[in-house]
Amino acid sequence: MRLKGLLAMGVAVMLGAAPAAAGELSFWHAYAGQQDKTDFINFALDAFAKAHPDIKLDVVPAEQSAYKTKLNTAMASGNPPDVFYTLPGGFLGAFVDGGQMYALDEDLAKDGWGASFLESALAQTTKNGKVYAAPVDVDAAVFWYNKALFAEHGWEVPKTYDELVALAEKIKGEGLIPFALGNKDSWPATFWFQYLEMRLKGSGAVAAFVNKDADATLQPEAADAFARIADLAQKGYFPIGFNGMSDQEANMLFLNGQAAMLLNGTWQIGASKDAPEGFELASFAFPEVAGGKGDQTDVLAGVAAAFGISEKAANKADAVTLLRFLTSPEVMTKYVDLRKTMVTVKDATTEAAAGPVLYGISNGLMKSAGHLDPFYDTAMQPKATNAYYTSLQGVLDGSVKPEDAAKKLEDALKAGQ
Amino acid sequence: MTSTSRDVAPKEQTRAALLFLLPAFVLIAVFVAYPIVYAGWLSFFQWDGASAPAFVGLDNFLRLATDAIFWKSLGRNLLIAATAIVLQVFLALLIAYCLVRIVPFVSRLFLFFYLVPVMVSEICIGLLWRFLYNPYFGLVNASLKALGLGSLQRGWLGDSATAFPAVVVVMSFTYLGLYVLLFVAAVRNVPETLYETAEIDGAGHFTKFFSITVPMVWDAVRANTLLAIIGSLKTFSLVFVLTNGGPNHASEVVSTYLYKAGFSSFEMGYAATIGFAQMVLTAAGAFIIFRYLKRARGGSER
Amino acid sequence: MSKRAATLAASGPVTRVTPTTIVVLAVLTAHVLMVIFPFVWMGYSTFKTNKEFMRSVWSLPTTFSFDAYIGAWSGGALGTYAMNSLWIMAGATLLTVIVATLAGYALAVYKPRWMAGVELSLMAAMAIPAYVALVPLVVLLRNAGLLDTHLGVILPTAAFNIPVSIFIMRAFFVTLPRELFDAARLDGTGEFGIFRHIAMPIAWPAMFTVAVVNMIWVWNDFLFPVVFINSPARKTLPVGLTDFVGEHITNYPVMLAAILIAAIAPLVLFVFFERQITSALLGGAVKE
Repeated sequence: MRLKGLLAMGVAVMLGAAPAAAGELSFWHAYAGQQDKTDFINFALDAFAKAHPDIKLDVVPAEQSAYKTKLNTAMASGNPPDVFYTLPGGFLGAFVDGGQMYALDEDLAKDGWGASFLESALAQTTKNGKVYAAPVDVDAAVFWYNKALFAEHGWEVPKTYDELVALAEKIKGEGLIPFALGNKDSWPATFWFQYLEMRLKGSGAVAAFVNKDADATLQPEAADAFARIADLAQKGYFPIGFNGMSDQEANMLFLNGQAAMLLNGTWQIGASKDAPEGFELASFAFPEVAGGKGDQTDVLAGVAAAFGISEKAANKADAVTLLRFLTSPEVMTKYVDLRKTMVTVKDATTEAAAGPVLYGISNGLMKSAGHLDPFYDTAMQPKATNAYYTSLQGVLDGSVKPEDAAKKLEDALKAGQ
Repeated sequence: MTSTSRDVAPKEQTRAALLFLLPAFVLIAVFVAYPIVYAGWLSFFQWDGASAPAFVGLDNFLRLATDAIFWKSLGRNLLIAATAIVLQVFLALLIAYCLVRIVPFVSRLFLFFYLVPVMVSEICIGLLWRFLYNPYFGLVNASLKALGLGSLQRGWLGDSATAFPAVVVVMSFTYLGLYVLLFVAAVRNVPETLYETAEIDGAGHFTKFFSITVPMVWDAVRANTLLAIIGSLKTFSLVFVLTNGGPNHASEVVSTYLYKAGFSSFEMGYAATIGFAQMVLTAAGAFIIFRYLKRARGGSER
Repeated sequence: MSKRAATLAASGPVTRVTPTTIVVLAVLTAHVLMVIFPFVWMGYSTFKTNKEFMRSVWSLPTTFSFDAYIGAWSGGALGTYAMNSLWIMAGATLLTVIVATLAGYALAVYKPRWMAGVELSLMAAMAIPAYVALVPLVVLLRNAGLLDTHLGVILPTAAFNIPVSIFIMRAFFVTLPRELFDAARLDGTGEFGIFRHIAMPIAWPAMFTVAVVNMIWVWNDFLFPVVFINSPARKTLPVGLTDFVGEHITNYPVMLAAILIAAIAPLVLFVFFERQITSALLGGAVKE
């Protein structure tokens, strides 16, 4: 699904769209085309109109797939909307480099607005020490396990990587698949590499390349991370033929109780909705790796969307009011309720809105996380992403040596700098 | 293009011919010919599809020349062509002979069934075969186990050693019917008297097949071989759905590689180079093979 | 090959049942069953519930449930995708038939010297893989404002299907006796009059044949729609299907029902127009 998104955006880059005329306060968003998205934005804008009848909005909605180009075109033509939806990382970074974004630091400092966000989420919309957008939602990768299956076999949730490997050996010994993995589209295995790299080396390794840091490197830990993945594959802890199976096929093994664990994003909750009886979804953090230099509480989690204000906006005070309203706990809780996604505003992901599993992750794992490290594959340049994907597939099936994969990835990242 | 005095047809007919051909000419010129010329031109640029293209001279071609993935992909296209000649063309001729000469009472029904995969979209076929190949609940592994060949079970599409052969097998199943159809028509056109004469001499099916049918339908063999080669070089959808060229390029063909370069790495210039080079190589290859087959007419049929 | 539009009803040899017949029949039957098995399996699996399917992938359904079809139809935008496919199919087919009829007629009836060159160019165009033109077409369509529109798929799709279709039409027109045209010319009928009043009225079956095969090709096409169309609301069935399959992770019968819905249109066409389709595939040069 994520790969599809990347491809769709690629084609969207090729599209052209004309910017709309600005009203009192022009507001562009990408919450169109899907029921849960339109429900959310309608709720938020209705409430805003009631709370601030004096601020008139000129709203331009677009579908996610076409939005990126639409905004790019408007920014390039020097006619940006006042307030708009944006993606974090390189997409936002280009606007910042062009001096087109209004820095929110002063406003964030007032009335505890900045403190209402997860600090690590704000970090993903920060560039050169300044915050240029208010983050909205966040996807995290965690270990999912079949709680019923664990209880039946008396398995314990592992705390360390060694325990994880030992557990895998035990599960394999009982004739089950330790880890479901369907790596045909290559992104599912990226979580394994990134988490190992985060534990061994620390968060922000790929971000350093993207920020054109001259000292950026994944080495020497990358080779170790690849080697550990190759080892897991070689020991047969993943399903047979995992490199040719889709994520859905892997899910079938997991939901059917043939596989015990699965490292995947928070969208797994939605994917598990239809599971057969006897399946019980639960999660645990990626375990600590002994001797790793990274903060062992870090979570692989990426801000999916954010709101920003254009430097050119005439009425910045009203624009900030809109932003504050959109990221207020009430609106964000509604967001969680409608979309079943974690948000970056602290305590807005309530148990009632999120459901117990997502709430557990949001309230436990995310709160105690030292850093949130955004998904490597979407953060790096598309060209490097391909190198990342293919070397990972190669390492997993034993056709590429871990150190060669590490070098190939490093070179691709350097070439993109 | 104006008519010359050497034209056989009168002026009015020439003008009519030009007018009748005009719409086709315009569409093909704009949407087939021009893009190919343009692909050649884009080959000299580095371009991400959004910003301004940068002229890089022959860099793309130099990169292509040393791009092992491209050459391996092209090699796979050729391997598909080679297997298609055996698993599609030759097998289809054999089936056509059987349908016409040995079991004609079922030929119409069987031909219908053989044509079903030809009619259905390759996307549907690919998605279905993913089920057959699934290592855990797929029928391929289940059948092997049932036959006592459990040790041969594997993750067909996920193993770099078997992914490509697995795709080739699906291709054979998918396109075979078309060639069966073409050969059934050709085999039916072989005069009955030839077989009757052979039978008087006591010829069996083996002899009849190789010494009568094959030479008599040689034109169809040649045309179908060419068709199979062209089809093999065009292949995209099945590979895309089954493996998307993976794992780690193990089943990559030129089309999937171009698609990735252009629409997931955003290297539009390089993607154009891949396509352009592929086309030139295809044209040269097709020409040589066509010539060879023309000369080999009536020669050994393998 | 093109001139041998053999009918499938042509008589074969007299059959004698021998051991060879039995063996060949058995082998071919087994092979045919293998070829169509995936479709049969898809068909019966759609009547299973997801739980049944999860328990055993290959077993026959114990009850007949139409839930999968209801789920497939209501769970995604298959209806929208099907309508998009229908529009693109209609547009591209109509355009191809008209253009190919005109050109096929010219190729069959008129013989100026350069016609050989035209024929050769058309054959060359047939051999060109569509993906070679992919990147330039994206640029061309974007500049024309046709990217992400149905017309933007229709025009290149038609252009790539036209050469084959021309040869199918030509194969028909060459079977018409030349005396027909010569007599009309002597009567003073112009070239366009001859086409309209003599050739066209009898060309309908051939045009229909070209239309049917084009409908199948366009309906099944994947490369152009997947690259040129981006908005979910404009996607075609095969492209939408790959999205659908990705979104409906857990319910396999629903997924299979969606695949079957996408596969059914060409199969229905084939069942009803088997003769036209086979003669089209035989009559002209053939597409892969």
